[in-house]
Amino acid sequence: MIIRKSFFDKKILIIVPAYNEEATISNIISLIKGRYNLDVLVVDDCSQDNTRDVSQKAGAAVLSHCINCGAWCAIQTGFRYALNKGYDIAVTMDADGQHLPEYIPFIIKPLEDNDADLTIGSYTGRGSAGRKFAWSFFRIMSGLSIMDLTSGFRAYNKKTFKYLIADESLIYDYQDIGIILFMLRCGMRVKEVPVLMEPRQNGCSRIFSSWWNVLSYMIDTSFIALTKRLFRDRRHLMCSVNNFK
Amino acid sequence: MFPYQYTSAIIGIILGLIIFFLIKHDRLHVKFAFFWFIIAVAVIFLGVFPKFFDKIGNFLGVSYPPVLLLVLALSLVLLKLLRTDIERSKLEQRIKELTQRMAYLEGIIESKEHEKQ
Repeated sequence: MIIRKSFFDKKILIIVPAYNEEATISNIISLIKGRYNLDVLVVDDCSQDNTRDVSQKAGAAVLSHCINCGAWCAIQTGFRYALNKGYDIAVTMDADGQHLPEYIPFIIKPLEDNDADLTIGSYTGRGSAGRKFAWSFFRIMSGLSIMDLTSGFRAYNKKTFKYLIADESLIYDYQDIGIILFMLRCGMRVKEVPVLMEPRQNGCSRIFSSWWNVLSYMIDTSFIALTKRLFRDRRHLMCSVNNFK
Repeated sequence: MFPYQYTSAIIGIILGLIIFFLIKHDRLHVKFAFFWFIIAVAVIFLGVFPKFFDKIGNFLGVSYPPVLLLVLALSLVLLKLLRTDIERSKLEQRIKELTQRMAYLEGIIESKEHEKQ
């Protein structure tokens, strides 16, 4: 993909929520900075290791939570920062090395073209049979046509920031279906962009770390999908897939 | 045999006094204290006059009046639990917001300190 000049004209912030990610975070920051020289904000969700120092040394701005309040809460801190500092676009990426910086221009393109307010970097090739079953189940429950509902590789434009830090969005724990449905309810346009992802370099998914967590996540998310579906504006139901060119 | 009225009165008065004690010593926030004050008065009243419910039960056509008390008490407890969960959800939202704002402000303070150095 040829990177357009407008990509460099926009003020873009990469938000990386991190919890005990000292092993991989430096590499992620270096890759982003080396390739595009974008501003990187690491939100340290009360890590017990050296995530904060390692991130600062790698050249990222760091905000630290005084208590651990989850990945979505950390991402919201990033949105507050983005809003206050006047960024045009915020991209969320995981700190475990799954998300590849070379796809940042792809997920930002629909926002630059004003085709979407939120884009989701989608890679359905990843994950176990269980995860794929969960996606299908949530698609049926929510009525959404998005393939990768749990991807944390997303780009948001300026318009979405005020909604993303609103009281209503504070009730969520994950950046997944609940946030997509919430964005649609706010009248925002959502697009899915196919990307490639790498296997996780460090640690394991917090959601899929134990059977109990999986069950709890399934119940919570199904409930959100079902209840929010009942109360949402049907006009915003369909989300299109934007193939990268 | 110890009369039933004494038993219910003692239980009601002890429970009522505990609630009054907690209210008096500011252990309960005002918005919760009012609810518990009403409960304390009701518990003492019903403890001293247990027959009162029999009269209400008969008036409402409930064949076994103590059931009415249980149903009302259970409904009240459920309502209170619901309200507690609503309050808890609000508190959780506030804690998250505070954590986010504090992280942002700490970031600003740190960057200002770096600039000074």
